[in-house]
Amino acid sequence: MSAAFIYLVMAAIAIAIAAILYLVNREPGRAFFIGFTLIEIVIMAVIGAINGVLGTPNAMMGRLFMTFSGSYGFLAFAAICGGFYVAGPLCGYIIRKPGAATIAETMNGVAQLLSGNPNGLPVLAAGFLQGFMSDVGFAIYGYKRWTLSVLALSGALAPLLQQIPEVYFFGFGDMGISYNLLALVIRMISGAVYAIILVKPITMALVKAGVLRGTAVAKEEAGGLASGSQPKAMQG
Amino acid sequence: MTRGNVFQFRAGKSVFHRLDPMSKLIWLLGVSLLAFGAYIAWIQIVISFVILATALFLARLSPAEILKGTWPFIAACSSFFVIQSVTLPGSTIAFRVFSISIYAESADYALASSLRIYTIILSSMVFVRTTDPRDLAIALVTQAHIPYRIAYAFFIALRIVPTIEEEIKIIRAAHAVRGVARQRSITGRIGEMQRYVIPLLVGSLRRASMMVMSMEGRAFGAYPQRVFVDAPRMRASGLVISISTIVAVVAWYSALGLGYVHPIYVFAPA
Repeated sequence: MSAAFIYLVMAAIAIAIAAILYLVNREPGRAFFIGFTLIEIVIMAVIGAINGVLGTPNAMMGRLFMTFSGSYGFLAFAAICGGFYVAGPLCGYIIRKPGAATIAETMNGVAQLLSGNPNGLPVLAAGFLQGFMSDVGFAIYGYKRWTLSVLALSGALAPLLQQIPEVYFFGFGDMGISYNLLALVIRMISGAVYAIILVKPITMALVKAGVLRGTAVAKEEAGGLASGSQPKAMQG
Repeated sequence: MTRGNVFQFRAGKSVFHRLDPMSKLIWLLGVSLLAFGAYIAWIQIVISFVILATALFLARLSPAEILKGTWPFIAACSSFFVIQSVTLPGSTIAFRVFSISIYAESADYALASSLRIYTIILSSMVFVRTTDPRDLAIALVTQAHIPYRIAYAFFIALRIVPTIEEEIKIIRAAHAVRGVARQRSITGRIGEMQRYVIPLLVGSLRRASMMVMSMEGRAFGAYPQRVFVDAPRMRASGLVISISTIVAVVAWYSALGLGYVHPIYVFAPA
């Protein structure tokens, strides 16, 4: 219990530092929260839901890993956890407003719950926490930088809080702090790798298909093409 | 009926169908908190029986439907129980199977873990089968006071989920027409998923953008508040279930906190 408390206090301090960095780095005159347009809300819902439904087989595979491999299964599952975190960085990258990743990942949790995720209601809390931490990754740079490294940070931060209820749910708290920290590191690497590999290619494909009209990334791409330079999403 | 269909709303006249969504959400949250409460076999057995009785009598799910919806999890929980019972350490030997010692402590812990997973799955199934997504979205606005634009995003997600499986079938058929063979291996299936993601997203977002045009054409979002003709309300039965659930959760965690029960209890003698 004391380890969990220390963990929570450290997470709270990290979030406070991220909030300060957001206030320092955000564009001058920009409000702390910016309302979402209807199309942005729908995009978050659709991406979150699809990621959730596609994530359910992932969750079942994770359950099998843990059933047949015990403690090693939890570590193996950690390696594929990045798949659950993609909706947050993806929506954050497309919409570029505070809260986009949180809402998308919460929708991801809803979809997982409804499509038969074997972990039940806790996936809603997990979705919210991983989305919130993905948003923290973007907030650190004031929602102004959209490079691969920022995407990797957003994906890597996703499991930071989400792992706490999961460790308790799966009963791995008794395995000790070093074991759980190792699982966290694997999850963070997995989150970063998935974000690096998937977010920009998926976004570019969606922009080309013309289904992201009205979003920040589509405007940026249109601006890049109009000026004749290489679109920013294609740059590293 | 596929397992996916079992995890979908179906209209009915059971007690749970007539309950408002917020009461059921409180019940679901309470069940999850109780199941999370401790690694104690006897309490998990009690909770499992209560949830099973709720599914059978209050939600009127047939045993066949419950079995169809949860058999993969029954198999997984059973294997989870067997493997943990065999592999976890303990001190009190309960019995031996093929010269392998089964400890009372590990069996108790394994049974609690397995039943906890199954309880949560079954309670989720009861909630999903008896709750109309539209009523849930309205309840989030009228009862939980969530901004209605966000609640509608939730509603859209609820509407999209059942169509995704159909969409995947259409994309798979389109690929097959073009000569792409279906993969049966695990790596092949992962590759298939990668091929499906973009068409799935493009198709869904295209339909969603039409939905947005339609909603904006009806002045969605023009006013800060929204009213509903048939908003669900918490009735006496909902109030009873909500209060009973909250009392059970508070009582259980108080008992744990005050030391009346131990978070890890074993049948084995001290």
